[in-house]
Amino acid sequence: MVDKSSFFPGFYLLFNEIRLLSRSKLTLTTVFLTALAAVLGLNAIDYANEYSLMGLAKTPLTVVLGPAQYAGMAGSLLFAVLTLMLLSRDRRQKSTVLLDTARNHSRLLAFRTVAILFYGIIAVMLGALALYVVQVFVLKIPFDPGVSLSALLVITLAGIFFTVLLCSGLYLATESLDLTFLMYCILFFMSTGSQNYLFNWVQAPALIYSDFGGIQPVFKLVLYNRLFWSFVSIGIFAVGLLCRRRYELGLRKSLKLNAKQIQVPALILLLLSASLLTYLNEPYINPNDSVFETELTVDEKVKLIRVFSDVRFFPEDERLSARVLYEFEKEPGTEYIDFITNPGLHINAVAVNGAEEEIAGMATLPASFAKIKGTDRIRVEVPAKARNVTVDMSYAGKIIYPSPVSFPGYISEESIYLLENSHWIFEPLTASKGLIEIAGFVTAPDDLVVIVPGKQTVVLEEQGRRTLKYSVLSNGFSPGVFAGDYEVKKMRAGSAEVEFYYSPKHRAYIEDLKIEKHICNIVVYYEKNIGSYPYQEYPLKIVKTSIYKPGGHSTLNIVTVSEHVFNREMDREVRERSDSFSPDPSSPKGESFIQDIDLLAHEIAHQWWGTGVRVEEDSPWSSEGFACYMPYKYITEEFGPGTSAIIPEMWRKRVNSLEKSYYYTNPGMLENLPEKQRQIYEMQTLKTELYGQMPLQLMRAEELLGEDLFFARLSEIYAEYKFKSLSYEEFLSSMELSEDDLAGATRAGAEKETRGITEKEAFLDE
Amino acid sequence: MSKPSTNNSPDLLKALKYEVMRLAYNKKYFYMLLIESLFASHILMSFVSVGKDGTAPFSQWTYSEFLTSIGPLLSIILVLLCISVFSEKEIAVRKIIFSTPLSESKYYLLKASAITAVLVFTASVPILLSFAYYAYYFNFYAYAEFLLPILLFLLPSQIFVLGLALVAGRINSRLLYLLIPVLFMGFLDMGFPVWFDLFGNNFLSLSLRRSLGVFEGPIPYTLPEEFLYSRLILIFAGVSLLALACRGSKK
Repeated sequence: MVDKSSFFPGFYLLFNEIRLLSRSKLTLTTVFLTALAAVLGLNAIDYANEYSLMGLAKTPLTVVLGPAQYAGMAGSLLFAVLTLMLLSRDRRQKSTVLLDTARNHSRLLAFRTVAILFYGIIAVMLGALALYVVQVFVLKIPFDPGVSLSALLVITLAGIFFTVLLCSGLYLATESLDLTFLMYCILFFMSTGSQNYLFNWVQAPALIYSDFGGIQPVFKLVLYNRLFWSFVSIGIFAVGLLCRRRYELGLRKSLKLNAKQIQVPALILLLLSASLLTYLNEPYINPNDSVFETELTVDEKVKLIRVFSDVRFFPEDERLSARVLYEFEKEPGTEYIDFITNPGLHINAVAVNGAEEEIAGMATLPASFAKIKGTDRIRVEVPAKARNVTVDMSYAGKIIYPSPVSFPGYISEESIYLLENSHWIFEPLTASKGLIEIAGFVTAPDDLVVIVPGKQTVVLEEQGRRTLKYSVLSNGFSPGVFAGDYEVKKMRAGSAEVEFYYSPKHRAYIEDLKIEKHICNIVVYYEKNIGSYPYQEYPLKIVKTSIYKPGGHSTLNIVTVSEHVFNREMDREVRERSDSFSPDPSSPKGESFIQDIDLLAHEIAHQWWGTGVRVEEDSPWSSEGFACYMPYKYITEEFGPGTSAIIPEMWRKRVNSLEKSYYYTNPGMLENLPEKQRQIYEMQTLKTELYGQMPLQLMRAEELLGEDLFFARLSEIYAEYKFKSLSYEEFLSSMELSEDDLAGATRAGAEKETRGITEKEAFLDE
Repeated sequence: MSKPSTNNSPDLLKALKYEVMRLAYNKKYFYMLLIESLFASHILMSFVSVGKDGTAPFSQWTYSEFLTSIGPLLSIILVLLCISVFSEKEIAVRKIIFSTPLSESKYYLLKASAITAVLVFTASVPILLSFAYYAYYFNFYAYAEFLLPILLFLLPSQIFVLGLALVAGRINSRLLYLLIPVLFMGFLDMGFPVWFDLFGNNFLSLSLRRSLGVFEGPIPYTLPEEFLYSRLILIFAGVSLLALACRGSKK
């Protein structure tokens, strides 16, 4: 009889383990439940409990992360049990010593681990197959194999692999099922609860992929996370092999024995170093980013006059290169100017008043500028005596995010999204003297439609790249640039020329829900009640952007709104009766639609308040108050008071919750909060004041003055302060109101609103 | 020479003490307590310090949230304790034990009591840690207020898991291992309805004002009826399962 093991011992051992596992009910249950979880994940969007995802259209890109993450979590838990049951089998059956003597037990354990990993692959393949069948034949959603399979491989399969290796390693090191389960439990909890994406080893940092913005901005984070955990999990597995008890010996003696095979300790050292290096050199997130620093001091003695930039985008490798010339006027005596940079962009050269200082290779930074430690700012030295200063800067690199979710800037092959606070053009911390001239060139591949502030003209098209020239006068330094596969619709709304940029993928929803009509109506309503569009010489550009930054933004003459506003599920009723579509605020879909229009109108309102009139922020006074209040008025006019009542109701609830909150009433206790938690609390408080308290005060002002007088005075303020700063005192004096008049806004608003809600409820009951 | 005892019934209290020591006086249990304490401290310093929905960190709501966070871990420890009752070693000596005057029912009752005693001690560790935390950071000592959250959020789920684990263990000890991933789900908000929310974390993940419909003033500690009923059902089901687990097997 032929001894099979003598032919190819490793393969035979592995085959044998795979065969044994196939007979186990636990293995079959694990594989089946993992595949089932993948199918259930198709509805992940519906369970997300987030406004932006509520009723979002299910497309190959928006549904893909749900199955991968559900199967990842379920698979990870189930494979943890399977791994531990299998690895503890010898110990439970008291055959460890026998196996230690008869053959290389480490090798056997390694093969067992590989056999479990094999079933991990089977589970993922089965999951992919089930997913394909349900997605295509039941839900009728097209299946994108590239995106779906890559998500299943990198999220689900990698999660299962890490689980198997971690559990194996921990079990071999502790020889205790209980402790291994508990340690695994902590690791799993850390993965699902941590805000640091490097710890999210079971899932991805985002819930969905953008339907048009490309997967790369999120996928690269997942890939890096998997690289880090590959080192960690293999390292822990190797530690397990090193600690594996031999011949009933204790840990120390077993370690001594195992360490004789020098390759294992060497591998551990190597993997430990790799993990540490990967963690420390994380390339995509910068926690020092000034996006979070809202109170940086501006040097009032230096005025920014003009910025001229020449920026080239290379989306294929997510890179940009830029040369920017800043012109300042300053008081004599000032010796430096601070700039906020993006740490992913590396400075090649800086020249002050033409005296260029090159930075070559590894040479130390020249004395002309220095990085401010612990920040992403640089300090450029300027001649103290000079009144006019020019700073010429060249830099290049990749944009780094401030956090793994909701980032203000990214460059991908499918789209570019760079808000001013991504600091793609380094921001000088200086004041301005009147309007700042922002101009320059932007070059990008010609398959991307690029949107820049002000007026833009194509000046050059060559070798598949297109160069645009732009120029704009602005009352602040806030340049943004956006690009994607856009269709553009040009229309006239009142005195403003409007350009609406959207993805052709969402054309049907935009047309059926008459989004263009709403855009026009909003602009016309604001022009009628506040004044003409502030930038008469530029078109108002409304740009759909990706969900990687949910919500919207307004910068110069550009308004960006996240894709969820234009990509909701439409039921048949809406499609058939789109002409007479009226949102029902009591239904989730109706509420989402009103909130979407509210968001669109909010960002457009910032063109008047924030970009047009610069509202000096002094919480709760800020442009957000107007940008919240004006959409409420528009929705009341467009859909009626019954529909718009949910908006002030939200403000009131928010303010009421804040005023009743423990730390608000006991500010002295805030010192008990850890620093990070305190920052989050302060940010939430500020948001409530800006987005809840101030609109309620404006509502109170309207109540006191009456709608006509309120808007008449608002129009006067707008005309007087257009492109100038407006303080709260100036606003009150122009309105002929006092601070005390508006002080009881929350209570008055609450009483009025309670009446409104009661009336609305009575109406709904009828 | 001493006269042999004529009392055939074993000293159950002594046996219980022995069982408790066997479960709790070992390195593994020490590590479990260590992990549990670290986890509880993390929850206290991060989530509890903020306060649930603007309520005080020592409010009943915040305390309920703390209990829902440590509940799943406590349940997993409970299942791990049950696993030791149904281990191969234990099963091997069971026949010998059953040949003594100790009946099968009493045996399981003894085991269940020992696990309960150890569980109570295990649960008291994070609770005592929370008391120390409140005393140190907030000078708060009215711990009696936390009795209701403990009764509603911790006790029913643990009784249910204890009953379920013992029944599962009696059917097949491997089922206990399958129970662990299910309990892991307790860490996640799966959007389960209130009546199907073992640890109460799905309910507490929602905004209290919205889910309770209280938009003015402080949020009273009133729980939805279906939640209260679900607690009663969990206790009833747990006790029934416990009784089922402790029954004698048919000869």
